[in-house]
Amino acid sequence: VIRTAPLRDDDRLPRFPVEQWRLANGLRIVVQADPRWPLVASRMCYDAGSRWDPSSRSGLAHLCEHLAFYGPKSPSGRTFPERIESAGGSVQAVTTTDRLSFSAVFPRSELAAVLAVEAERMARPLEPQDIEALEIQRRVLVQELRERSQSRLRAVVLEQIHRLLFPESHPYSRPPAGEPDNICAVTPEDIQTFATSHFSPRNAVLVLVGGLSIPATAELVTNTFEALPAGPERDPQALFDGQLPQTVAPRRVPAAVSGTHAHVAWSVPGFGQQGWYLASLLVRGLTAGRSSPLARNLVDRAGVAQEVRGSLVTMRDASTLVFGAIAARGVESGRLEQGLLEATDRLLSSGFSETGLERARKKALSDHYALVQSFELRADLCASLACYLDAPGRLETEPQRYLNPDVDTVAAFASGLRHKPARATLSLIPRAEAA
Amino acid sequence: MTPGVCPGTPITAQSPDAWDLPALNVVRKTLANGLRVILAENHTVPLVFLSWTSQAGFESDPPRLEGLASLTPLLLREGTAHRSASQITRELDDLGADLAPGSDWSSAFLNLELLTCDFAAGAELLLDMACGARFPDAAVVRLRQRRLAELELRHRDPRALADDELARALFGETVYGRSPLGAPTTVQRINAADLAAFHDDHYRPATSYVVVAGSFDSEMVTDLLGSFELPAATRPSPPLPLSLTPTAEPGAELPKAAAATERQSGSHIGGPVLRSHGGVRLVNVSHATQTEIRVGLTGVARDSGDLPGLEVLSGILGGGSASRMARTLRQHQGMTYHIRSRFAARRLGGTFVVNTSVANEATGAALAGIRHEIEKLRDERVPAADVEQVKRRLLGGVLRRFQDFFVTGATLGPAALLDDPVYDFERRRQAIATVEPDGLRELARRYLDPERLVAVVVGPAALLRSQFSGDGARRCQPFSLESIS
Repeated sequence: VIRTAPLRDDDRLPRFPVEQWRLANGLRIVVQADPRWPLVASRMCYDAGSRWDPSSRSGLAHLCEHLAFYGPKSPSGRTFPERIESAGGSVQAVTTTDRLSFSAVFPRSELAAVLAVEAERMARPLEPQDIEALEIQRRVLVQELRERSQSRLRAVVLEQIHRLLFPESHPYSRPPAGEPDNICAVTPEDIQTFATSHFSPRNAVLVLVGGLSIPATAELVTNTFEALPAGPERDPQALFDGQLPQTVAPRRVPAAVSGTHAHVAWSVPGFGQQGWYLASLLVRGLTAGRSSPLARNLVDRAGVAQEVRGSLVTMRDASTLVFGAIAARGVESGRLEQGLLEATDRLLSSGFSETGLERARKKALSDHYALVQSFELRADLCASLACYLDAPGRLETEPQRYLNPDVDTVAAFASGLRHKPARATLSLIPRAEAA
Repeated sequence: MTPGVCPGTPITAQSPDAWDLPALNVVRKTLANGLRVILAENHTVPLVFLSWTSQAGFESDPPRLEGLASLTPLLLREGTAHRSASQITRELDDLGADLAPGSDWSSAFLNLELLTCDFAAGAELLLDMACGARFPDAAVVRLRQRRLAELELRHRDPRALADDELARALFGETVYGRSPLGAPTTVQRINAADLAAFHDDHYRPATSYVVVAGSFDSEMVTDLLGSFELPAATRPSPPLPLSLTPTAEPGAELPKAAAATERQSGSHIGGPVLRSHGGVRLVNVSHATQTEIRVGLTGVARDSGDLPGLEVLSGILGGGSASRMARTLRQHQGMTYHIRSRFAARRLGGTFVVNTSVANEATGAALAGIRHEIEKLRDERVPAADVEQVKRRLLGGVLRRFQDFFVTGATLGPAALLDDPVYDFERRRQAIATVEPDGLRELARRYLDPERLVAVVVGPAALLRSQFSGDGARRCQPFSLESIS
């Protein structure tokens, strides 16, 4: 039998120095220079996620992202992505609950070309009166939703779980990608209002990670963005001032699955809070690997599941902890659901061993390092730390946050979860069984 | 210092020559115990990627046992001469390691990611699984059942149906025409003895590589890997197939598509290939809310000198969000969320495939749009600026790919089984950089014949049929309906 090595100090904290500053117009800049490879990953993040969608316009932020991805018609006929691809870059845009981001990865010598595109996009992200472009992107977005519903079970599960955990008036209850009816109702005026309110230096963070020199980058960024007006001040947004549900009725949804997929989920603290790290350790400790406690309970002993899963879906103000299981051949939905609920209840109340915590720490650290070894994913983490916590410098100390909690702290968190009244249970059941 | 930039000021991208593309820091050596290793140090984080890669891909599937090559790596963790399956699982979980077994057409791999402090434990475990695997009957039965369930699911998945139907249409009953997962009849036949024999034949140090990428000490790693005792081969390795020949069971009747194929003389794909017949093959999935589309042709083998030019051609057509098809079908017409094209090159041949999905009622128009863009590549010279843009995107892609040491590690093993991986990295980069616009139209005329294009559409036949047949206004003129299944 082989022995694993204990975690040592030199395994914990690789150096990722971060510089940050703010331009006079409010634009925040975060730079993490890493000279090891001549590449740069950029993220221009706007505080304009789906949480800002009006309740009858879910998908508005996402639609604006699609329009601003290409940008308004230009005299050259070249779109924003064409210009970045010409510079050897790859481009992407993403709308989540809490931010809307345009990202690129490109050779470091092309920084000026890419920043020029982002500055243009910030100055004039889209043309609200271009009805043709709006109709085209509306169709593309509806097609995207259709693809998602057919091919991405996980997206379907999360959408349903969030509807159960959050009341209808809570922004997190609506899918960030939007809903077809709401997307079809969006008007050019909605687009205009959204773009004017949110696409401005005041609401943005620019993150750059890679082969950069800080002084040269600082000068280039300043020259490129400082002339842009700050943009209007927004009213501070109250995420939600009502009550979260105290009890949640179980839900079953027919789906294209061969065996039932059962889930149990709780709302836990948002990204970067102490409870978020505890939830990260808990989910890994209970579900990571085939010898995890949940797998031993449901796969090996009870024989009701062929596979178990765990995930922590991260948002700014709340995250969602999900335990899931896929039914073993011939096992009916009710048996799997009951088995999952009993097993999670038992595991949450039975505490955590030192060995279990050490496993969870190792998994958390290797997942974290796997993320930050890539410029693109490191830029994402920097963006989350900057946008949600205003603390991008925490990039260097993140590993320590997984190592700090002891067994008792994790066990207390698990026990608290068990006594939380709002627990969502959702099952995807085979269509034949539903019928 | 770069001068100040105001919004709206055009910035000219620099020549790729200014990108200071680095050399790959890779060492390849054969250790005293016969182990062939590739080391790629990267000390960004205290993490290491370890891989055992063998020449044991789907191309090595024995006749009548298709699916064997793809099942074998999945069973390596089910017990060895020294460990039971549950011991392996517990040790992996104690390490917090991620184990990823898998295979492609030419290679099979067992990848492990773990913290550097656990390298010694991980290496010992990986080599034990790769070299000492046993194939317990119970595990074989379980994995076989799972594979059969997977095949059953693929029959209901429109994307899988589209991929499989196109492969069949292009390659008939040759190895590339069959699903690498096998068919129910062949999977049912696979037993523990078949797996053990396949493993014995193909997972040998002499036909494999161990790749280590990430943060480690080369000397320590070399000493450690060189200290393992490796099993000796008991018989010669079976040769890889030299050409694409039908692999149907003796006595079985070839399907019409394969029977109608003909050998192409003077083939450009490194061996005899099947000539595909153009037309639309409609696969009926009556409840589908959208239609999966694949449009394809046979392509080139990976040693073809035309491949870099074809990659550029495909990039212009359907690579990235600024490609021609993305511009017309997505950006200008709003027909699809994703559309891309690709020349996939394998050892004995390859494919050209356009992949998209659209609303059911837009299927005919989407196919017409795809064909129109392909014809334009044959009829018109591609502007030099478009070629330059795609070359930059492809070269930037190489730079991106090798920044990530997991991706680097996963790339080096399969590349080394074919050639010097670093040479391959350099050569491909240089070959793309030297592609000129003048040769592209000629390449398009040779390789993208619209009359041979095979289109597979998977969706509700009731809504799709009229778009390809009859004289109705909605008929998609460039394509005719060839079959419905």
